[in-house]
Amino acid sequence: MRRLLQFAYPLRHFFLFLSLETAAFYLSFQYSNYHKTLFFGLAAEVNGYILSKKERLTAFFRLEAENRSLSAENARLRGQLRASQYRAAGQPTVVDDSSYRQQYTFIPAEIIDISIRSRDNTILIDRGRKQGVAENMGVVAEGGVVGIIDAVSSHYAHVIPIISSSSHVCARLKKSHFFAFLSWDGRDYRIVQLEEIPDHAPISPGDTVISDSHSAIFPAGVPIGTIRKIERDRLRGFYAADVDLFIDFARLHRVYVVKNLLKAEVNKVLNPSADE
Amino acid sequence: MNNKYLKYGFLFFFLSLCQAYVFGRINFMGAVNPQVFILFILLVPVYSKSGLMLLGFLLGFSVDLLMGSGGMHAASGVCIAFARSFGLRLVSEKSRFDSATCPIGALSKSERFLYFALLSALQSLVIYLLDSWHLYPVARAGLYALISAGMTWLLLVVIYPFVRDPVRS
Repeated sequence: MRRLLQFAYPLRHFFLFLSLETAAFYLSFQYSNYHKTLFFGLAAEVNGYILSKKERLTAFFRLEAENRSLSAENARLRGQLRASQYRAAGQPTVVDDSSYRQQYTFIPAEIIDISIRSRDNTILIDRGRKQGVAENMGVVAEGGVVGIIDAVSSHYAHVIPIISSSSHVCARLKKSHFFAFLSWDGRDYRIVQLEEIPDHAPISPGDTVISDSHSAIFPAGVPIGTIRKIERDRLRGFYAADVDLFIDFARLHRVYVVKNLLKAEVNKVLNPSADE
Repeated sequence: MNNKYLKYGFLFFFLSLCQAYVFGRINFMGAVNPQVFILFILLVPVYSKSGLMLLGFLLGFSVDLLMGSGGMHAASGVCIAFARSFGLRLVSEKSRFDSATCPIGALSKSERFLYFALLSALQSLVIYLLDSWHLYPVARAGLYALISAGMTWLLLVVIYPFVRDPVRS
């Protein structure tokens, strides 16, 4: 034992170097996990405070583009109002309004920090627990799905966008309704990958990909992007496709946190044992 | 003595904040940033290798925490803390330094420039090799590291006169 210590003592600096490097590498590759744990609250509050001051200074210069984007969104929403539509079918139908209940509400938020060029991109928004934001809520924007809330502090929330290697979001082909998984290979922030599309699904470039209401995070039908390139995995019997995103993350500024009012009920049905 | 702790304590927080909110957000060519926070590791009068490595880790980790960059800056901070004494011996014959003052107070201007260049190159290389993992080719990481090291070196040369130890200079 003494001999071992005598041998190891001159190398103590090197061993410490190896241990610290191992810890740093571990943090590098486990980024989203360590953030989720004890550091997030404090880091988010400090970061959020400084970045929101900076944001206030620069927001003025974006007003014109911001107004254009809001007008476009307004126009699209107006088009969806019942008053903007006409009845195409001859048969009159009665819509019982009391049979509709609100399932999703949207909390508007602004992005105060975003990264788009890392493997594990992140977004920090200026809404937190005090405004009703919680973990695992969806985040959408004009143009489509943005990501999922990963951690929340009192006034800020951390979003894992769909352009993060740790993001896995359910999606659906709009035309054929086939279900698949959305992931990101870490290369181009404008292109994500749609995986495990059954090989009997009719799919072609240009098809639209939309969100799916599985897991009760996003409302069904929020646009995501269009199919760019398709590859077939014959062994596994699946297609994989590249998807051009509708959202330009480099210009993203205003988002909406999706609050599913029935989520607790859905979770209770899906995991009845969780309550026990 | 107290002044020294105060000065380097302030430098620690000032450089980590500057790195996280100013220099770390330049994104030249999409991803290249100068790594000015290493100035603390290059200057701090701590001569125990273990102590210096722990400080390097803490400083890098503070930057990582503020930037949400995992452990990249911590890894590079430890690396240059480990390599600092080799760097000093490489650029100068004067191997004995006054433990109360900054390790580079005794270096000539050209030796100091070379010391900054060597360690900023090493640090940038570590950062961009880690960053390139599965994101872009190693050759591009090398180019980014070279540009980042050049930017870092230039900023270190400009900032150093404002923070150098008044006892020795």
